[in-house]
Order: sequence, then C-alpha cells, then structure tokens
Amino acid sequence: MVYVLLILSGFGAAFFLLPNKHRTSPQPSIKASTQTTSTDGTTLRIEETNLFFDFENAEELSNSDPRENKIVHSGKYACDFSGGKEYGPSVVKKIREISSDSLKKICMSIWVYPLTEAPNTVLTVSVVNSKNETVFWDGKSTENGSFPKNKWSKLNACFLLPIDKISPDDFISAGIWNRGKTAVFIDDLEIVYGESPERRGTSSTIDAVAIYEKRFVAEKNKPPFPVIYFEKQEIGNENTVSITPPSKQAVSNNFSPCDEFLVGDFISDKNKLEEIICIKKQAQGLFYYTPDKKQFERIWENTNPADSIWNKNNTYYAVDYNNDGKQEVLLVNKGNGDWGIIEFNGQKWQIIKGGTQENLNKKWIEKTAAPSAPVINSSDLLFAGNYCSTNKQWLKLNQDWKFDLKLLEQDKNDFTILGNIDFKGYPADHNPKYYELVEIISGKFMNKNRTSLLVLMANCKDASFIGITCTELENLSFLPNSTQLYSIPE
Amino acid sequence: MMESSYIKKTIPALALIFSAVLVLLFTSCDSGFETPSPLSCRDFSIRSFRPLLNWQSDSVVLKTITLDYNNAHGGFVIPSVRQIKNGVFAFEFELKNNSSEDLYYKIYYQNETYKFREVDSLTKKENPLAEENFYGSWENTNTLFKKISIANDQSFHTISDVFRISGNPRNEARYIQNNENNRWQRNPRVGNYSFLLVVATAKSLKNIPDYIQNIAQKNKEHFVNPYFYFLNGEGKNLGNIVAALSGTELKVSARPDLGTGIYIDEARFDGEVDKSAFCATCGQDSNLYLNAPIQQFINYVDVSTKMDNIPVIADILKDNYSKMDYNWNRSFYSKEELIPTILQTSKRPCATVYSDPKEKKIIIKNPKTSFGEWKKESVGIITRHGLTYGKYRVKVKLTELLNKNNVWNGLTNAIWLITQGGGEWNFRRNCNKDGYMASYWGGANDKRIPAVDYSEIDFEILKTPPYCPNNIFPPVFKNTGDNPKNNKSWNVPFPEEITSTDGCVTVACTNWDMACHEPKNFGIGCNSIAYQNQTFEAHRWDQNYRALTEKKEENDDELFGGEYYYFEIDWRPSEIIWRIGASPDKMRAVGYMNDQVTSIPNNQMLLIITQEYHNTKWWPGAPYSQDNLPFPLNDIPGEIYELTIE
Repeated sequence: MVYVLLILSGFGAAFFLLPNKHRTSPQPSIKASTQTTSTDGTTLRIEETNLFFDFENAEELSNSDPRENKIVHSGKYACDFSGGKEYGPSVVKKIREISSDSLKKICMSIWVYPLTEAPNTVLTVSVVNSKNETVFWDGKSTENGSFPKNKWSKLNACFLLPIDKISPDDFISAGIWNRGKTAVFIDDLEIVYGESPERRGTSSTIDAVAIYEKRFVAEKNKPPFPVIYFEKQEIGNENTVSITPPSKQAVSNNFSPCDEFLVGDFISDKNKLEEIICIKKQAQGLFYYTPDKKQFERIWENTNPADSIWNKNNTYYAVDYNNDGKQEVLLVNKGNGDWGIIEFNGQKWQIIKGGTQENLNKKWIEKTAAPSAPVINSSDLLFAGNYCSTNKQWLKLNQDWKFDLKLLEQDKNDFTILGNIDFKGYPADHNPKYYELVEIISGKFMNKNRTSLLVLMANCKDASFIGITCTELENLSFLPNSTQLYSIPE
Repeated sequence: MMESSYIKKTIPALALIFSAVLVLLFTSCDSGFETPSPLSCRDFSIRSFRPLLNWQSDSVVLKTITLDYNNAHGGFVIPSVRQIKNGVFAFEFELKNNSSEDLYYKIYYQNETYKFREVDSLTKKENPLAEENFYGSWENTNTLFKKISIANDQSFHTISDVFRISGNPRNEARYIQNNENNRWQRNPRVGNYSFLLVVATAKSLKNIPDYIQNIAQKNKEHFVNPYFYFLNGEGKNLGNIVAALSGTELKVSARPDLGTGIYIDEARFDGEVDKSAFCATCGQDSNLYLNAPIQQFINYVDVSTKMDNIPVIADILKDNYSKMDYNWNRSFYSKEELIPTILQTSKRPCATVYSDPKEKKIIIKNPKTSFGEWKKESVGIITRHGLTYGKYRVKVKLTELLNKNNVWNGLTNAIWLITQGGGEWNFRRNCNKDGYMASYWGGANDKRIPAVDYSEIDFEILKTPPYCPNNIFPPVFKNTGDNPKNNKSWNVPFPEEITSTDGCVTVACTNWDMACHEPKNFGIGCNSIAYQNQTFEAHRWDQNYRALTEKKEENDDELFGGEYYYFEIDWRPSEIIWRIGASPDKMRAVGYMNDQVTSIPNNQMLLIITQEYHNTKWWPGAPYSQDNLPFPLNDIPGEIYELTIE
C-alpha cells in the first residue's frame, strides 16, 4: 500500500491559520485500501489504521522533496524543516476508508530533532466535511515541552474526535506544522486511527457474583473450559523442522505442514508403537520413535520421483485389512479408484493386494470416519486417541478463526468437552498456537497406551494467506518453523 | 504522683556544673544558650534543669525512646510503665530564692522535629500554624504553675518533679467523646522533643495569661504556643520570669514488633467472620487486641467495577510468560469465554497474612486460584495506632512485578498512609480557598466543604508510564487485530516510550490533597518542583482532581528482585519526601511535594502495605490491561521485615 503524503504549500498556510469554521482542506487523491480483516459485525482494517512513515521512500512524499540524509532517527532519511519551512507532510484519508464505525480517536507521534532551542512544531489533525468546512481541528505542540537542541525527542498526541460532528464521508487530515519556523528535522511519523476492535462474540453469561460467592457451576460444553496442557517431549531435533536430529538430515526428515502424513503401526515388532510416514513430492520416509534414545529415526526413504506408489495421484489410508494388529497402507487412485495394499517388510514396501473401485472394501476407510455430534462442527478436524484416559477421546481442532483445540471424551454418542488444549515446555515463544500454519499428527508414538501429538508449525510469507494454502513459508527469528512432539503426562 | 514535686537541698558539685551546660535559658532579666552560670532574676536564680533524669543517664544531649505498643490502644504514653517504673520522667532543677515570695514553675515539652516554626518569618509574629505543634505539660491541664516555698537562704535547692508525654496534651474537647478523653486520637508524635522550664514569682505569674498557664485554654479561638510566648512573644519581656530550654532532647521513634501478631477487626469483613484460619499470632484474642500493632487490611472493593478477564490461570513470574502470550490472550478469547471478575479481598481473615514471632516479620500473599474460583485477591496489613507526621521507613521484600520477559503480573505494590478516619476529630486543617472535595470517591461535581478527614499519601508501584513530560504521554499504542493467519496483526510491539524502560516499574508518589486550591502554586497538568538538585514533575488531571502524583521509573529487579529494599515516606508539616534505597543510609528521593503545591495533611493516619490488583483504567497509558492478565496460578508472597517511624 502506498499512502500519499501531501506537502501543504501556501494553501496549507490558510488551512491551518483560519478559524475553525472557515478552514478548508484540499481534496486529496488517495489510493484506496486493499486488504481488510473482518471481525464479527465490524469491518476494521487493522493494517489501514496503523500507519508508519519513515521517509525512506521518496514516493511517500507527493510534493517537493524535503528529505535529507544527515540527521536521521531511523533509516537513511528524515524530513527536513530547515530554512523556515512551515508545512510538512500531511496524511489525508476519507473516514469511511478507515472504519465503517465512528472514528472516535486518532493518535500520532513523530521524532523531532531541533537545531535551535524552543522549537514549536505541531502535530495537527483536522476533519473537513463534504462542503469543505472544517468541523474539527486540534494540535499538540513541542512548545513548552522537553525538546532539547540537537537531540531526538518524541512527540505523542492523541485527539478525541467529535463523533456527532463528523461523518464517514469526511476527510481526516493528520499532519505536521512547523509553526515556529525554526530548523527541525522530523522522522518516523506514526498515525493510529481509532482503537483496537472489540473482542468477537457476545457477552459472557457467567454471573460474576456467583463466582465471587463461590456458587459457580460450569455448564456442560459451554465456556469457559479448563485448560489441559500437552507438554513438550524431547526428540533431540533441536527444535528444528526435522523429525530426526539435525545431524541425520535427509529430504524426508524435514517435516512441513504442507506435507502429507500417515500414521500407523506399520512395523512388525513387539512395542506396538505407531510409526509415521511423511509423503513429500520429492521424497517419502518412514519414521519411528526409539524410547531409549528419545528420538525419531528413519527406517526407510524413497527419493525416486517416478515411483508409482508414492505420488500425488493416490490417496493413502492406514488400514489393518487382515486384523492382525499391524497396519498396512491402502492407496486409492484418485482418478479411477483402483486400489492397492502395501506392507512394509522391514526394508521396503510390497504390494500384497489390489483391486478396482468396485471391489474396494469400504469398511477399511469407514473405520477412520469422524463422529457426528452437536459439539462437532463441519470444519473441525478430529483426532481420536487416548490422550489422558483409556476411554476413547477426541481432539477437536477448529481453525475457522483462532487455533482452537479441545479435548472431548465420548460416552456412547454423547460428547463432553473436557477442556481447551494448550501447550507447555516449548522454547521461548514457540507455542504451536502462535503459528500461522499448524499441522497436528496424532499417534501412539511414545507409548502404546497414550496418544501423542506431533505438531508441525510454520509461518507463511504469502501476503494473502488465509490459512488454506501457503506458497512460501517464512522462518521468523522469533518464531522459527519447528516440529515438536507433545503429550499429556501420565 | 505525676504532679507532685519535692525539694532537695544538695546536689553534687560536678553534676551541677555538667547539667548547667545543658540548659538553654531565656529570662526577662538574663538569657543565653548553654550558659554555665545560673539564670537569675531579681528575685531568684535557677540552674541545672535536667528534664529526663531517670532515663538513659549515660546520654546527655540526645536520649532516645521507642513507643511502647503494649496495651497502647488508648494512646501512647512516653514513657510507659514498662519502660520506667511508674511511667513518668523525673526532672529536676535548682532554685535559689532571693526574696521572701513563693515561687512557681511549670514544665512544657514540644515536638521539635514535626512542628511549624513558632515565629512567622515574614510578620515576625506568632505563626498561626504553631498552635498545631505537639506541645504539652502535665496531663492535668488544670495544674497550672506549681508553687514552691523555699527560704531566702542564699542556697540552691533542688526541685524534683515528674511528667510524661501523652496524647491530647491540651485535653481538647475535639478528642473527648462521651466524657472519655480519647488521647489516642491525638497521639504523641515521633521525633525529637524539647523541654522548657518556666519559673515565676507570685507577682510575675499574674502577668502570664491564663491560656499560657493552662494550655487547654484558647485566646480568641486559638491556642497560643507557650514556646512562642516565652521565647519569642510577650512572655519574653515580662519581669521576674525565667524560661529555661533544656539542651537535652528526647528522640521518640516507633519500631513495632511485627512478630507480635496481627489483629482481625471484624468491622473490616463482610458478614460473619470465618475464623478457620485464626492462630496464635493472628486473630481476635485479647492479647492480640491489646498488643498487636498490625491488623489485616481489606481494600475497598467497588463491586461495580467488574472486568471481563481472560480465562487463563498462570504464574506470570515463574512460567516464562511472554509478551507474545499476553498479545495472543488479548486477541484470541471471545467475549463468551471471558470471566466476569470483581477484584477481591480475603473473606477468610488470617489466611493470607502471617506474623512470624521468631523472625519478627509479616508475610502476606495474594492467594492462588483455580478454575471456577477465578479470583484476583488483594492482600495487605495496616497499623492500628494513628500518628501525625513522621518518617515512615519499611524494609520489605514485596513481590517482583515483572518477570524475566518484563511482563507485568498485574499487581501494585503499595506502601501508603491513610486517614485514621473518625470524622470531625480527625479533620484536616480547613482549606481556606474553595474548600476540599467532600469525598474521596465522588466525581468532579462533588460538593466542596471546608474540612474533611480524608487523607492519603502513597507509594504505588506498578507498570504504567509517567504522565510527565507530557510530550510522550499518552503512549501511542498501535491497534491490534485478531487474525491468526497473520501474526503481525495480533503480535504488535509496544511503542518505544514503553519498551525503552521495559525492565522498569513506575514508582508513583501521590498526595491526596482533596483538590484544595489553597496552596500558592496549585496547578494542573505537569508542573516542576525542585528538591535538593532534583526536579520532580507533579501531575494533576484537573482543578477538581483530588490527588497530585509524581512518577519515577525504577528497575523492578533492584526494588523487588533482591533480598529486601527500603521505602520511606517522610511526612512533614510542610513537605512530603518519598525515598527508596538499598539501606537506610542510601536512601534517594523519588518524589517531593511541599505546601506550595499541595495541601499537606495534618490529621492522624495509619500505614498500609499491600499487594493490590488495580483496575488499569485507573492508570491511563498502562501497557498491560488487568483484564488481559491471567489469574494467579500460585500464591504471590511479600515479606515485611521492619517498620520504623521516626
């Protein structure tokens, strides 16, 4: 987005100095906003309400170029008010473009570097209606403030706007007026329109007095819910995206939310733990957890892109077609419905059965079907398991809005929400729910009686990312992409 | 006993010479400081005024005594019977009568540390405020000058008598209710006391006005300070009168034993008191009632100030709670999930306060909470004996307020003085310009009245920005969104004016002057005031705002991360100084106000120490909002090691 800063000339002088009712404003040309963030019932463009101008980009300035590069607060350029220059940049926006609600407040800040004592530089705001009448004007000056010569000091200002006098079609102008005409440099103009939106939803129905008097009784499946913590387990991967220790790098080791995964007890052994298959475009790998080492290890990898089994044409299911307790992989061709069952023999996958769409045993697939209940929404992802109980439990992940993971217990066809899931033990701020892109893979990786969560976390660089597909991941230093294993302690 | 006197003829010569040095004498016929020679009038001479004969005989210039809190509920007496047998100070002087007349004497005392100067520096007349000074004489104010009959034998005779310092020394009706003299309502002040002996002949006595002879009496509706009268006023010029000011002073201080216990005042709790947490050192037994210097404090809770709190229970100090945690929790709970919360106080007295008799300290704790209980409960203690003025210094280890990520835990550590209440007897001096706002809690349209009993002087320490200088107030916080698919929308950093002091908390120093406009430089907005090479910025929101506040940002780790720290409110008649420091000899001023900018209270107050949950709407610009901070997962303790008032 590019915002046009208007350098007010002689016209601006009249604009600032006339009494309020005579003030008029130029009708600026403003680029319309491009992206919105919707909240319930209110449209408020957060990105549009927080503006910052560091004067690094000459295009930000629409008129003469007042930039200089000797005295700067940040970057390479600041705005130069030497030589008696009186009017500086001004940002003019139609109120409707900032908020569909009433705009009650505007806050601004600048950094000021006076070359003389007692500068008089003013942060100004005005509102002009469609008749070119100024319906509001206010300002805050550096005068009488603490602005020592040859030093950067900040000037903040917040102005309450008369909501009964302004309309959405009025223009609001936020600018800088060097009223004292003394030599000053200005940098890093910040403008914040309005206030943060209210939280979503309707008011809580909980009675505060009932809590105060210790009479509160929780209602089934209604918030608030207790918090149940999954604790991070050490898997020796140094909190990288790799499922194995980074020293054992391979293409398929680096898990990503963009990959496909299949969980099952594919290996014939005694520990009955589940393994995980990572299906990437370039490679596939089979991994298992070794309790002794507390690490995942790769037992098989395929890097042949021409492989007829592991490709995008197939859908994969973990099934136990012969009820021997060990699972195989059912792959179904997305195009013609042909299917095959493959089994891992310790070294490679072998086709042991196959057929066409007509003779596919649907029960193999139905076993993994999600339950239906009032507490379960169509957009929920469900993960069956035994997370903290031997009873059948479900994790319900909904990301229609926030990362909302709940633990449910099933009693016949009834479901009880046991609590909200949160995480513990992660390094720094790397809570899975803070990532833009999160993939959860549940399985009995560590304990045959307890289900763990392998959590793949990443941020997305796409400007238009809305949580579905991401074309380019972004590895932020404060929130690096990572693969972590979590479980509820016994 | 106290008002009896007796005469002894001989005094050892050495003691005579020694004590004569300690007497500062003012007479109509002779005067001077520390004269070794007797003070003489035409008809008599006096020497060797020794006011504290039976106390610390090895100290000469400055003797010290601490207030005895044992059974002091009716008011402090100095000395107590536990400190000196019979509970009186003995005093002596030597007198030689050169005439055949009877002589008369009277002893006065005055608190010198917390007084107004007796002489107005401009008018050179009596300072009208000097009547507020804490001065007295014998407890029975009807005992005027005492008669001495000694022979004109050219010899010095020793006059011995006793006195004590107690509350309401003028026996003012203001402090007498239902025929009971509530001396505790005007307790003796801490600080240094001087002693003035006045001797007169029968004839000269007649020239001393009744209101000087009887300090309970007034002259034209005002008390006249006898120190002014004899040392600077008309009494100085009367013939045949000697006023001898002793060179010995008595330093009175208070150091209540915090291990003595905590009393529970039922009136501070709603309904029937739950006694399940009572123990030997906390409760209501008669020993605690009589002797405990401290009681549990219950904050005023405005049940209308409900807030909708995030449904999170966490230990901010221990759980590595981060700014990102704060930001996420602020953005991603819907209204239905919030917990309507009324800030709470303890409903179970003694459960959150503990007096340790072994280590002589008090432990307070904000209790942990759990799902379904969801409480943020303030905790604190308050002294039980009111005083006017004093240097209140506490050695405490209150909770840290910021964790290692510099996230605030939502608590305000407060060390503050509050009115002892009581109504008329505890009214502040009249406000002579527009009056005081009538109530502490009322709004800007509250009526104004000449006098109120409300007063408060605060240290409040929390995470909030200074109001001054106003060029960076208010902080400009970016708007935050709730788009989980773009963490820049919700994980919005604080502005530079907040992050530049990320590890600091603000020490807010406040005087509640009830918006009295009388001070010459009463101001609104930010106004500078200088004190000892420092400039403080005092802030008041508007003409009717009841409090003046100065704020200083200080490192949280230094104040609350170590073993202990000292906080001091130096409440003086015409100024208040707030100091903090690592030790009593390293205190530094963090706030200063005087009577030119604010009305300094002169009523009786109590000291409170609290760890409080505040609604952050009281603190504009605060970066963390109380409703977006978790409920406490664990108890949050604070320890109080020492309280000294001197």
